[in-house]
Amino acid sequence: MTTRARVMVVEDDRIVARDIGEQLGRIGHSVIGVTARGEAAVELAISNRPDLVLMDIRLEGEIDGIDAARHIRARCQIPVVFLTAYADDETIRRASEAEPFGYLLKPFEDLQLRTVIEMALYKDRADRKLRESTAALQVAQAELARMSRITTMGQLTASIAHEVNQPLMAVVMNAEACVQWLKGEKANVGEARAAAERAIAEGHRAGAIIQRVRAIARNAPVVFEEHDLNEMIESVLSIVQPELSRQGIALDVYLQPGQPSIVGDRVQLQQVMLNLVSNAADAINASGTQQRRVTVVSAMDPLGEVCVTVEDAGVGIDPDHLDVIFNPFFTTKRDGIGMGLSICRSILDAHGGRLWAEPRVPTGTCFRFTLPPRMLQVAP
Amino acid sequence: MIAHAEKVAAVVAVIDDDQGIREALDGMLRSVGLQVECFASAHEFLAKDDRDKFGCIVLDVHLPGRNGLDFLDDLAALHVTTPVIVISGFADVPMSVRAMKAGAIEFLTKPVRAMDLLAAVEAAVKRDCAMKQAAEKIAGLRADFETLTVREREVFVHVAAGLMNKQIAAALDLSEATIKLHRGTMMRKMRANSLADIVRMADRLGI
Ligand SMILES: Nc1ncnc2c1ncn2[C@@H]1O[C@H](COP(=O)(O)OP(=O)(O)OP(=O)(O)O)[C@@H](O)[C@H]1O
Ligand SMILES: [Mg+2]
Repeated sequence: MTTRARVMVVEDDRIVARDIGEQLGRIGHSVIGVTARGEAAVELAISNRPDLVLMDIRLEGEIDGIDAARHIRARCQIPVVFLTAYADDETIRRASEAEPFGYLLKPFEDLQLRTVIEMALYKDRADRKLRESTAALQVAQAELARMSRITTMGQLTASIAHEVNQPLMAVVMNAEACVQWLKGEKANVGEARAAAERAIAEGHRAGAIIQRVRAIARNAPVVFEEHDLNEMIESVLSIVQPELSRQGIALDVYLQPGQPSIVGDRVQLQQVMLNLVSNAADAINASGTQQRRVTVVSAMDPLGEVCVTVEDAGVGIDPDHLDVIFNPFFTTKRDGIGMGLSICRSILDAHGGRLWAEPRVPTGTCFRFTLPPRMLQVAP
Repeated sequence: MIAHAEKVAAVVAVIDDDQGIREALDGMLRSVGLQVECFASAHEFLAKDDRDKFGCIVLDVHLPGRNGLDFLDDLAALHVTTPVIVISGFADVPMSVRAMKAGAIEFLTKPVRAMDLLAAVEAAVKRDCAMKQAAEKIAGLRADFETLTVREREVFVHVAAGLMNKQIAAALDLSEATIKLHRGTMMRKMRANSLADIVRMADRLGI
């Protein structure tokens, strides 16, 4: 026997409503509210939080039982069971869209009512558990992605510091020049002003670098929004570029202009780029190849599917490993964690895209990921 | 800042791939009265043919394409003696050691203070002047030496070695009077006043 459920009854026929109340009492549940109007049902459900709603489809008031059920599901995820005396196809179609937890055809016996209520409550508990674990999984995944991002950024700190150092040095030099031009009797105001203006521009440049870095490291919730793919790629590449050039690796970028905007989480997609490019750099350094360059290409096919390629002529991947490299903790590096590609893949999964590796001829590896055309993209 | 920078006629070459830094260095060096020419790459600098006018090179070693330090080796191979001040964003010791070994006279880490850079530029330009003067002197000396006859050159060598006229006469199988004559002409042609002058010149000429 299940626990006593608190049930709300929405029924425009008062006599039927009273009968249902009595039936519920007999099978061990309690009634915590009765109304004949759809709008009132939504309000009552929100304020009283019943365990279950028994909902007639035809009601008094502006909205019918199906609309009321939809609002209740959306606002407080309380299970709804429809009561109906007749059922034409159209009504049943609409009713199913409101994700009902069961139907009861009036009039019904105690046993029928009891079974339907128990099934609805059971399904609700299962749903709730699933929702909780999905949410927990999402939080854990986002946190993992963020930690990995911070680790990657940590490896970039030397170059980032250098990048910020450049404009800072320019600011100081320009300011010193400005002071110097204003000294003495032959002060040159024109030159002084030009130096001051350069100092301002360089200050902004330092600010922009910090903003880009912060945007990636910040602890932001995952948000699916519209983005310009190429701009997003350029912005993240500008963060790795200095580190690559410090390692003597060139970065060749070919972005097909006029790409449609994509829908996704900017930071996560940038993280994918970050991981792929830093893996490519590792592969180049591990190989002693003369071709010290990473090539990044974006392209769009006629159906609007977007494809991004990151290519290197580095050590390459054993053909037997082309799939396992995406497993968590698979690494061939002494100080590797082996999470990079696994995180990339889960990010692309969440975006409805795909990520895979191909051997490159004659040497090296080519990583590709695709994002579905915008119209097919759905936020999870 | 150096007050007498105006006196320096030499041109400073700035080589840096970062436009912002290039403009900043250019402005700062000009503000104290120095003449500046900027280059975005080592390649651009090497393509220039009147490199002699530069009294100092300010070089960012973090250049794209090839390492700035390799550029120092290129300069050495081309016998360019212009003093180089190296600026680096990464202050690692091995790099600064390599830079100094490759002939840099100063290694500064970003962000560089204007005062430090100007002091380094002043020292570099001074050194370049001294080197150019010394080179001129030797060239003059060599030209004088070229005017000597074969005999006079022999006498020069022996005088520089500290031999007396009598000893030289014996060595060259000539009379002492002839040696005296050659010696007098040689001293005049070389613009030398004393034995000490001859010894110093021989040293400079590597004889
Ligand atoms: N471009 C590439 N060329 C060759 N091998 C690669 C390349 N990218 C990835 N790999 C292989 O895949 C493995 C897993 O990569 P992944 O990014 O997941 O982890 P990792 O780079 O080893 O460590 P980290 O967690 O620090 O990123 C690497 O250890 C390497 O063997
Ligand atoms: Mg990796």
